[in-house]
Amino acid sequence: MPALPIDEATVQRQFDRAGAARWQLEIDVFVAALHASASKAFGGDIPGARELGRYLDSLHAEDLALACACAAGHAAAWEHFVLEFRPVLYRSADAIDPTGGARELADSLYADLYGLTEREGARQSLFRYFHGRSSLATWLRAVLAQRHVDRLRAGRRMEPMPEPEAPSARAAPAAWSNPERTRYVALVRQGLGRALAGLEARDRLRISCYYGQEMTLAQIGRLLGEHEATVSRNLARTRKAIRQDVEQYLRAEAGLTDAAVEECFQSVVDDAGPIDLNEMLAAGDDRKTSGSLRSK
Amino acid sequence: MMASGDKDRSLEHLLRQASAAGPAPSGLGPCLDAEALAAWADEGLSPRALAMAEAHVSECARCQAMVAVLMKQPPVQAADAHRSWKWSLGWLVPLGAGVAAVSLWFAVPQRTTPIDSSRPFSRARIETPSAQAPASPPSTLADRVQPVPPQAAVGAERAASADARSKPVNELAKAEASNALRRDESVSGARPAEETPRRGALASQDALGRLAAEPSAVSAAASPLAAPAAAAERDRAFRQDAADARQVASPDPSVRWRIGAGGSVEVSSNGGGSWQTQASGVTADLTAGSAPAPSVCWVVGRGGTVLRTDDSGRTWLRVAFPRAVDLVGVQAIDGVTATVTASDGRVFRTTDAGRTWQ
Repeated sequence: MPALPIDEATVQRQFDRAGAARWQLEIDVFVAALHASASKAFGGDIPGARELGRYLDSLHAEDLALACACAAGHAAAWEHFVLEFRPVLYRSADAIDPTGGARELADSLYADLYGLTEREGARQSLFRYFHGRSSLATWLRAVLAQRHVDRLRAGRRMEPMPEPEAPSARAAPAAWSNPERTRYVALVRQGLGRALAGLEARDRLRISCYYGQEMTLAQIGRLLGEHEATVSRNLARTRKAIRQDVEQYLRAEAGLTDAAVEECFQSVVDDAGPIDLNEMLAAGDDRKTSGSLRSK
Repeated sequence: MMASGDKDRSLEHLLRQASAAGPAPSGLGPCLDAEALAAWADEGLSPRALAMAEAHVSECARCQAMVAVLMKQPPVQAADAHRSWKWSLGWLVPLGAGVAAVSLWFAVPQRTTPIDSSRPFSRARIETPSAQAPASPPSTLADRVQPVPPQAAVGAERAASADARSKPVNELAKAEASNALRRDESVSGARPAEETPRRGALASQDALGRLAAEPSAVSAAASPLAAPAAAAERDRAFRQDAADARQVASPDPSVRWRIGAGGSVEVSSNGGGSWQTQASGVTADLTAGSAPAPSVCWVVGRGGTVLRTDDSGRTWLRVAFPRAVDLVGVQAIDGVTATVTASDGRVFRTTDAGRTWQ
């Protein structure tokens, strides 16, 4: 790891700003945390002193010092963490799963933060992964979100496929017995996949969040730093662009007439079958070759 | 021939059928770790890192799911609270005294009925018009619906006893919430205007969380009133819905409605001093309302939900709506004429109480 130009004066200033002395945190430990944080942020680059200074000033220094002190096993810091952040963790768990299913995750996370495992005689606390680029509360919630998602995904992979006669098995609608309709639905799906692939990342992200993850406009706006109305407007624009791309694909590449194009759209209204938007959005390497990029 | 709008709706139908399940992450580099995800949420990523994160997440089902789980939670501003708490520490005592004095000045003449004892916490907070009117679509609720503002500055509300740290966390949390709720009542007439209503309203839930989680070592000038722990817990749960509650004012300032998640509708006939629950008959989240008369109110919500009352909410009628889209705005002229705005910007108008829509 290349050495970053953090001078002593900067270290002391950050140390004081963080109130690290409150937890009797060793300054060397805090310096190591600053280095780790900056290394993560700048990757392999070595920033200039001013840029590095600005970055360090942007850190949630108090939370970083608290995390360092907890990781080092300082009792006062841990007591403070329990008092201030354990409720945050539990509230987050309850927000994720109001039935209480995520509480177990919160409890296991709590144990990992404390550092029940050891390596070479040193406690391995999860706090070592906190770098102060966010608040400690947000980081805790993100860790919980990550664990929740991974647990769900792992559970999904283990679920058996439904039997053909089971109610959950999706029966092909009667309309699909018409081979043209089946072909039309497939064409629209191909066109949609290509249209989605041609979107700018931000537009694709917006569509995924709204349709795939069912986030609200406000939540998407918070994520992307946009007003709700802007999110709504951009969604409408992107949807229109997708539609036009799909139409162009159906006409130009599939060689369909206008009437057939209309039948295609009508077909998907009736039943387009199970569609994995995320699969479409995470399609393979033959993307980025579709038509216009009308995301502006 | 299919109109463009019909094709758009077909496409939307197609997009909505998509499931949330997805394949393994794409080949766009490693997934975001929790630290990067949190940094993104707290605007701690550099522009370059942000662009890379957006590009990856736009194609990665796993990361999209993580982002969604995180962003669906009300935003936490614990760090900001810490910072504001630190700089406002020295001002807490005189500020608290000043707020209490001003609140008494404003609160006493307005209160004509006692606070509803079944709800020790009164939602009779300051209504603050949105400071950030949406640019589009035009026919939204900006001048009708006023979002519930967030709690007052954290520093002004914090007033724990000096021995707070010795209390068990749960008991402390309840006591803090109770104290905050009581102080909330007393300052309801003097709450400062909200600056970022949309974000702030959602943050109010976590403002409560901060109050519950953060003991203060400073005694406030306003001594809190005691409240039973059970009532405090009930109020805490009740107020967790407050972030999404919206108030709908009528031409009569004493009559207003309050709508929120899960089809929640309440009415007040004393300017918000007390509220009575009304049966909306729906469970969809309600997002906007418009009351052109004290007895007439239109309310809209997710999934094409449109409700209307002509008798001050004694009965709410579900109005048939042609599209199952999320509705975000309504402006009503009277009991038969209203304009509704969908989340995708489309506008629908009725002049026959919702029997037909154009």
